[in-house]
Amino acid sequence: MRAALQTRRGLLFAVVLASLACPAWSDGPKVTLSPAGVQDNAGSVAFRLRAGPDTVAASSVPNVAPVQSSQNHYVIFVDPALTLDKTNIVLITLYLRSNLTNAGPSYRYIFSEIPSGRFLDCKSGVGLSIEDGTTTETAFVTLPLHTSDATIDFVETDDHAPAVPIDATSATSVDIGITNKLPDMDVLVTNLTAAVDHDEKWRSIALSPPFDPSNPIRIAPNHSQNFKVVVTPSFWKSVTNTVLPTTETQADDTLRLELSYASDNGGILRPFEVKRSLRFVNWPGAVLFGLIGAALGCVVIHFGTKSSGPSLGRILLSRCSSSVILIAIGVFLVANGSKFVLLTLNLDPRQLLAAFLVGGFAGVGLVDLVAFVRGLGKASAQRGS
Amino acid sequence: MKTPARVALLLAVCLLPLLTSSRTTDKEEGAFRPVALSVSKTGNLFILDASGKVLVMAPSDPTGARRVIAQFSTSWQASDLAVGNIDGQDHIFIILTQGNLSQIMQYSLDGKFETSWSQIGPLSGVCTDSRSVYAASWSAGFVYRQPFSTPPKNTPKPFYRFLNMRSIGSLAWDPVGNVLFAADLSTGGVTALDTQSMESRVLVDGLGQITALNYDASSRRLFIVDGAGRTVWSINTAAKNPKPQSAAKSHEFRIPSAVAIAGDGTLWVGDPEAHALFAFSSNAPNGQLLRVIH
Repeated sequence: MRAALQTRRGLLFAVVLASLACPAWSDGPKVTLSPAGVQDNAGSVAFRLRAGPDTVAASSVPNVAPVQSSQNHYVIFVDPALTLDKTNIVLITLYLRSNLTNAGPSYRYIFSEIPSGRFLDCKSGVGLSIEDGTTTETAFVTLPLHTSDATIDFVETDDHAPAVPIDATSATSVDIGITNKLPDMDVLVTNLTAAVDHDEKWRSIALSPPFDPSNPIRIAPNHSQNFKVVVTPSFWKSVTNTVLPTTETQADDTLRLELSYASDNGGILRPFEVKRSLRFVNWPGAVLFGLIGAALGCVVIHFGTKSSGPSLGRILLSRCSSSVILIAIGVFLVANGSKFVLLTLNLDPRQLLAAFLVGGFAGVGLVDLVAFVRGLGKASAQRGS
Repeated sequence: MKTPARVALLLAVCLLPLLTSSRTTDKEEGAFRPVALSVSKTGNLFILDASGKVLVMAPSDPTGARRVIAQFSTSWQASDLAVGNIDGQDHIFIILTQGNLSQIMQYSLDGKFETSWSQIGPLSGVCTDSRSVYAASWSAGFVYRQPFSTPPKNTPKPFYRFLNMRSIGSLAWDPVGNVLFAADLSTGGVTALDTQSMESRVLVDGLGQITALNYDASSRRLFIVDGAGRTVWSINTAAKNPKPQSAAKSHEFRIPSAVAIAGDGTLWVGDPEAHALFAFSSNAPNGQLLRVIH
């Protein structure tokens, strides 16, 4: 009998000890957050009380605009600094204070977000109920809600941007616009790097201004931010890439802008990569090759037709000038979006062979070409007769 | 050699260790944010910082000086770290996540990269047994297992799916009972999987927001960190009806997120929001705070 009594006492003692050890919440009101549907029910976020109510000093309550409960018995403060823990769970801290007693305690509640579905992070109104044993009150607080789906991109860029012409002889600035798709939350870019597929073709690739990880870049909702990458090609490698015309889809290299970003605040880290095709162009080389083409064409046609017109020097001068003007017009047209596509080859007058052909055409001259062809025709007719 | 030259040489020899130590000690560079802890057999404490640095600290060092042994790009999120033993030698295993891609990285104790395995989908916790590394999937309740000998290109194979769990956080391994512990991020519970019978049971439930687990084989206790409740709980897994007991609590805690138990019984708790490491005596009831390292 005594042994049984002692066992019971031991059990009672253990229960008391266990109850002391288990989480002991203060006698604060019970606060519940209702699940919130977002973006036409593309997803929803439920809330789970993780800690609280814990009695805290009034000085711990953040200095933010309070939200009144339905019968004005309570005021609610939402801590604007959300916490994303290492397991990517967003923790929201709420504070509650009674309006009835001035010196009444403040209570802290920590809720976690439990998201489901695919949606963009956004702010949303969330219903809240407060039960204190005598009354139940409601309130409406605005909370930032976060998706846990890491595959959703919150930013976008122009995926169909044409290949960017890169001057082979100097540094070129490539502008890449990134747009924040979120309706009402900022995006913070926390890491930004630029790289190319073929390093050997480049002397340097640098962000301008350089990215400082301690100063993340903020992009406002529905706004764009322009990122500038200055690329300097390796001279000979890039010049050799400008000799032959290429197909329209073919690029000399690809620039990759890789960024890591998160919605502000509490969003999980997301990667985003922008690819831009780069095509080398060579203005001075194109003019030089145009002049060579014009000179060669001019000499060939002059000696081929044995014409007795103006002197070779004068013809050379006029036709070289014509070729430079033609190349300049071609460059202007291509730079403004025109294309000269011949048998899938994109003839860009800033590339050497195309410029050589244009120069050669100008050097030969249309009238002399016709005369040359007619002369060939006559000669064959005489041979036939 | 003339006297001034000798003095200069002596000074240079004396200053050399100072110069090299200042280069490798990371004490003030940025805020200290420990998100995972693990203790090696040699007694060193390995720390994963949220900035992507892997640091090592000798617990006996009163200054709490830490040395960076590896560093990852900030575009990868460093989630968890565990020190595991392969053929009598300790190695570090780290989980890195970038969007929907994760990697399990293996490093030597002096920070040399050894191998890595990739996995589609976010991974959260990591732990090891004597032959394999285990990684928890943040979604779908999967635990993956990868034997140490697996070549790098192979993705980890699913080992077990906890049907009662939506998101698994931290993992811990009990080498005595061959039990794998997994933290449920949705319910604040811990499920124990007997890897021999492959039967699982809920060990404890409703412990707030579990951010870390660690198992002490010598005392057969599982340490559970409740980040939101700012408490470290311990459970005696050898008991018939294990109940959580408060093992450490401090008013300086913000979101404690890492725990490790040293051979001398010191319980180390890392708090990235408090930018601090806390050392508690795990033998004293309710955990006596021994020191705080910022």
